[in-house]
Amino acid sequence: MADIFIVDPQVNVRRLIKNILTRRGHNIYTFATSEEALDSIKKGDRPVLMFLDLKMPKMNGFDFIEKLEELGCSFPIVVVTELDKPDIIRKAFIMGVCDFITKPFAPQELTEAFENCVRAEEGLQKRVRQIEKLIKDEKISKATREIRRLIKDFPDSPYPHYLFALVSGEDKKTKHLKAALALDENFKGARELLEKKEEKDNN
Amino acid sequence: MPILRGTSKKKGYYFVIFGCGRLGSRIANWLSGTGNSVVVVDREEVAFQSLFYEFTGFTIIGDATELETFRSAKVDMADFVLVLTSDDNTNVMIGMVAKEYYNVPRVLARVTDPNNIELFSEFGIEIICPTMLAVENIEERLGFNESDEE
Repeated sequence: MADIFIVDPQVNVRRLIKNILTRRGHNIYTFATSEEALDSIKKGDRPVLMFLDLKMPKMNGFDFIEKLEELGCSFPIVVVTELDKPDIIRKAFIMGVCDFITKPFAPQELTEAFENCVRAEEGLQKRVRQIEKLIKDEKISKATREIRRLIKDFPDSPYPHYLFALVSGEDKKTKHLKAALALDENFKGARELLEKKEEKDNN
Repeated sequence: MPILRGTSKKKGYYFVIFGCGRLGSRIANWLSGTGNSVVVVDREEVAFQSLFYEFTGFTIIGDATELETFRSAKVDMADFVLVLTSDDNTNVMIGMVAKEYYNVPRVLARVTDPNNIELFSEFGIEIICPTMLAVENIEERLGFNESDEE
């Protein structure tokens, strides 16, 4: 069961996506505008995945994605839109969306996009745990190799930078932790480690 | 033959309906209300006024004789295509394209003239003939059957 946000101005689309995913046991939260969704996120709500239309009444989908980046949100976004021009699709992927679906859509398009994006995110978490174990077992060179692979596969994720901070010397630790926090300002592990490091440096 | 017979069970089907008249709009309302993804295609925007407010599908204004309309409706992904315009010639053409060109698993078309039933069946299109249904219904209500005739 996962918390999923749907941000779409069309009530029929919100209802349809909700119908399809509720039957699969997920918790669905719907928003008619970017502003409504942004308010919820600012309150601290974080979905596992967000379905987002680009064509919105006030703040459009691209501006909304930029706002999410500013807030340091790193959950996967699947675009669901009637806009299908190649430059729009290219721009969306450059901005880091996980998948792009055009309207109208078949239920399997929606569920496949959800499963692929969430699986990729889960794959990331599994690899992070494996690398953390290598570090714990002091297999640092192997861990470093794995972190390099991880950053190639997930360039927008803060985790590789956090893990680099764990294996790097004191001089480079701060740089990596700040990079992780630049990608996700709510990254608790990086924040705590940086605070400890700064406290130690001040003493 | 029940429309969902012979298809694999999954959560929600993708239906494309050509024609949003009295029949098309009622079917579209029912299918979307039962949790399926439904696309309704019609040449006239005004036809979509027959859809309920609760209709959760998509509408496309388009000419079904153009392939672009099929592409916009993503007919290639459809589990079912229902061809429900009032014109038999249009219906056989749409049904053929859906069946032969896009390999849609189930194509069901409305046939107004019972003389066209054989033509539709030759292309593997399942048919629904309101005239024949009415005839059968009247026969049943009148209580005649073959043994009475003998």
